[in-house]
Amino acid sequence: MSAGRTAAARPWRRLLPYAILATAAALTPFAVTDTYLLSLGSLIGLFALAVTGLNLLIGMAGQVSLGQAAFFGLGAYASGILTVHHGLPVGLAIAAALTLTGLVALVLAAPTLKLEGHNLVMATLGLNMIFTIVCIQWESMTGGSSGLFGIPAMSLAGVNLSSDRNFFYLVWGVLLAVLWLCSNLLRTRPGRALRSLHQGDLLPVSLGIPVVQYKIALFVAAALLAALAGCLYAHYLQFISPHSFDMFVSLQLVTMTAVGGLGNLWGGVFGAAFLLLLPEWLHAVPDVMPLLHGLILMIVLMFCPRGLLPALKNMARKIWRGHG
Amino acid sequence: MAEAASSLLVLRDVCLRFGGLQALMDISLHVPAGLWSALIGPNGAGKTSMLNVICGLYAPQAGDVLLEGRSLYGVPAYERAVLGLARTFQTVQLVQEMNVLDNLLLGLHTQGRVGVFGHLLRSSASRREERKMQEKGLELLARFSLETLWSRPVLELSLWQRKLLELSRAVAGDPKLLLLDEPMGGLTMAERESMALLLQDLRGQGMSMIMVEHDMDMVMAHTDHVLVLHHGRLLAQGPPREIQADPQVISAYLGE
Ligand SMILES: Nc1ncnc2c1ncn2[C@@H]1O[C@H](COP(=O)(O)OP(=O)(O)OP(=O)(O)O)[C@@H](O)[C@H]1O
Ligand SMILES: [Mg+2]
Repeated sequence: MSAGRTAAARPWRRLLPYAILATAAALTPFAVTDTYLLSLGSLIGLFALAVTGLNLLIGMAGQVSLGQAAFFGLGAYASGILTVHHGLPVGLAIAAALTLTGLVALVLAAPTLKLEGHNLVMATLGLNMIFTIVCIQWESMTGGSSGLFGIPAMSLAGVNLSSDRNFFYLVWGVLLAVLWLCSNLLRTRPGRALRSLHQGDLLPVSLGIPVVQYKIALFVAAALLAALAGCLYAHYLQFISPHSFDMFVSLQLVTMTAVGGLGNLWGGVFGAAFLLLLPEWLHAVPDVMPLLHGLILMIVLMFCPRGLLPALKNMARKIWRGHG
Repeated sequence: MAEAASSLLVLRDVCLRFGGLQALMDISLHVPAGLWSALIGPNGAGKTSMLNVICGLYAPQAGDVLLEGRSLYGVPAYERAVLGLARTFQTVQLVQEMNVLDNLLLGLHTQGRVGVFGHLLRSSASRREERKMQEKGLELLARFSLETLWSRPVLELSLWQRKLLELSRAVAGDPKLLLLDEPMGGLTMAERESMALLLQDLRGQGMSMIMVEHDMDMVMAHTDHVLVLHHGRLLAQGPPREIQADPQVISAYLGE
């Protein structure tokens, strides 16, 4: 059947965005010699990693979490503390931090996912605030509000992965791999099940989809991606403070997701880049950024609820058709 | 009870309440395999509620549902789908953001054997399974004359096409019992006729069905067995001709 062939055909079209992004990422360190800009590029990749998880959670399950920065921070602090205070090798510390975050997310998932709408937002926000308070108060471990210093760098076979250029490659390599895995998933059976979730429970459940398990898995996966970004962040900057993981960072992550379009994997990368580059263009004072993020979030939700990127794409298509 | 042993579906003293509202009262019935049964009754009689109880979306306060002699007590709805229950909805339920084929493939969800990690890594098993599912999906679409629409977003479909798609999704997994909630609701006369023919075909292939329907002519012309609900009670059951002549049914429903 011809339709059958078309349905599975053109794998190169799928690979194209990866090829473009990989090439761009490979060339960037040669084009961008300013280390500040290069580290900004790494930061974009890290945020995009966390946004990817959040994007799945909000886009598929319709669960808006304003506590994602807490998982980001949990990864960072757990890995930081294990290396600084307990002398664990970095690789092992990251593995332990991810396991810990996964377990915490698993415990939190069931009660959290019972909530919906505002209640879920408030609960996750509360979670983030508790996390920040613990980071500030538990001084002996976390270094309190002045932060945790002396986190060791990452290295592999004698290569320092925390140098600006290598870290940039590491982050974007990890991000591309994660995007690839996620898009594999979304195109197949579990992905179709995930995409049916926000329809309400009646339909997926009647189709044999264990909705609760799927939602828990999404929640844990989103937490793990945020924590992975956090681990990498900690061993790159080699210093972390509670301020980097507070609720404003969560707000920023949600805004990035909304800008890119819910459930749109590439959109999340765009959203992360857009929001992190914005202050550079605007030369904005850091203090007004939360305000700006809130404003952007509001504007996006009001005028293009499907995301800024899809809206721009639509506009471009209309203009193109108008000319053609 | 010998009758119970040979029945595909049995309801025993099922009671369902919503607060003070008694939606289903002491419903007991047997549905033999291979029959096309109709579930009729006025608006609010409890027809949809009964389907929801059967497929596990509502938990009755009392009573039990048995499928092939096995009690479904405590069996969650998603596991009942695995056991062979499939359904359509009074208002068509499709995933708006997905195309026709992907919506149909949701009906094959329980047939997949490759796990999440296989799919994540795009293993050869994952690709093989997906290819087979897509082929099967396209075959099913062809059976319902939807194959040319496979890549369309479902938003573009007419009501008739949506109903067809929902039906094809429900039969995709070869269920033992198909629950249809007003499959002809909102359709034109010609579309109703086509739907009746499709359902007749399904029945000819041995599919057991319970269909909620308001169109009495359709029910009388096509179904094998009729269940009449009225204010949450099972008023009567039997072959269409008997039901048509039942004075109780006439006064409660047909005579309206
Ligand atoms: N989830 C619910 N919560 C509260 N009441 C409900 C719920 N579902 C159904 N009911 C009530 O139960 C009664 C039976 O409803 P049901 O939908 O089963 O009727 P129906 O026979 O399918 O009617 P219709 O022909 O209008 O579809 C109605 O009074 C309805 O309001
Ligand atoms: Mg109904």
